[in-house]
Amino acid sequence: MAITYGDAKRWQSEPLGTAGDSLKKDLDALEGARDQLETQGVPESWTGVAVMFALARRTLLVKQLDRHIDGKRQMQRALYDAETIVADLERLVTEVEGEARAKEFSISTDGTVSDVSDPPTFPNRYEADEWSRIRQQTAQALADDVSTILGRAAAADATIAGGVPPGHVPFVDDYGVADPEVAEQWATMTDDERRAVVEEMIEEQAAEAGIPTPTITWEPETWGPWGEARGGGSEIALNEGILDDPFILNTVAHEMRHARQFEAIDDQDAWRWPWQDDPFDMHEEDGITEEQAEEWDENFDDYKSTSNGDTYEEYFEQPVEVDARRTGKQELEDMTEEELERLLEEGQR
Amino acid sequence: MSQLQVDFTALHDAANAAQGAAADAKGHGSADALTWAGGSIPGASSVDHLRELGTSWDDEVAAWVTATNDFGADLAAAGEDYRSVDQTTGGLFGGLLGGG
Repeated sequence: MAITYGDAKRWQSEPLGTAGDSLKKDLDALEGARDQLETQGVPESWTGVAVMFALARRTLLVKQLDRHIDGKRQMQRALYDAETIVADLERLVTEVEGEARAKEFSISTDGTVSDVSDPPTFPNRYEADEWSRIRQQTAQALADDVSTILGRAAAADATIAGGVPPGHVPFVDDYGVADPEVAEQWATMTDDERRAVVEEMIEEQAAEAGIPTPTITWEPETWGPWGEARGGGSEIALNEGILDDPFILNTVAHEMRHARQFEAIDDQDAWRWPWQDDPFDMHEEDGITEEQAEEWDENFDDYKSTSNGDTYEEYFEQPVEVDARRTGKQELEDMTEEELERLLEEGQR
Repeated sequence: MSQLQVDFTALHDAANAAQGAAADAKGHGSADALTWAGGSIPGASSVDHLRELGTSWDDEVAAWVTATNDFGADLAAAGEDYRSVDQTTGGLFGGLLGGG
């Protein structure tokens, strides 16, 4: 769910900096503990077999703490980076709120800009229209500022999420995090622009997979799942509720990977004359092995779904889902601002 | 043939150093700091990430403290064992030399 203007208005940069400083203190303590253990934890004068076990244990403990320290340092940097972004956001909020007040507009928590002024009386129609035009321009400028603020908020959010080291937050490990610039750009796009990007991605990924472009069905937010590949990948269903979140880029790639899995299975089984090219070659060129396709084939024959009474873990860990999840995560994390621009341009042609 | 050489005092100091390191690391998981940071960005998806990370870091540091304390305790026990063997052997030699 995207951040609302009402939320963003309440954001504060200072606690992020304070948290970063607090992490620095913890880092100092942990680095001191690590150094003490490393330099004094096993006496140099000790020889024999037992010392080797002691050294192995000490090395393991030092490595464990080293990894923790590296992760903490990464998050400390992320908090300081986010502090800078949020400080900018706070300044923008103050400016836009002041501007709105001064010009008699209100901005609701969902970011809607409303004219709250009492319209004056005009001597003629021309002046009334001119006044109305200026008011609309001002409202639009305020709405653009709100959009900029939401973009900054998305960038700060992605910066912090990107600072989460691996192995601690399953969602981040499994699905990845958008680049802050991508998150910011996505937040400032209109829904039509986002749909254009999604449609272009699907078209291009279908071409790469050697399949006809699937139809896209937008399901309402209440639908539940983020996405679904239907009819052997001929239809991609997407939840409208995640359109405002760059995470949808992961979902699109995930569902298109299922379409690719279906195609690889079909191509593996395809009958052909001996002189004809093997349709599976294109999949192999993209790193898909025949063993993988066989495994996927067996998996789809016995697909695990919570709606069929299987556990979530059975659904989550089956080979086709593990593979699609990996693809979705990679797509999201590899997405750049430039690539997003290109997809938008292509999608709007 | 391996050679065994132990300086009990050095082993005792190492045990203290390990347990001192454990004591120094204790309580530095940073969960409170991350919760504090999360409180300043309501509505952000990273609020949940920060909370989960803080819990995981606290657990990780607590596990490290326990393991390092155990390591220190084992060093101290080994030093005590060596000292005890040394004393027994010393006593034996003392007996052999007619001191018993």
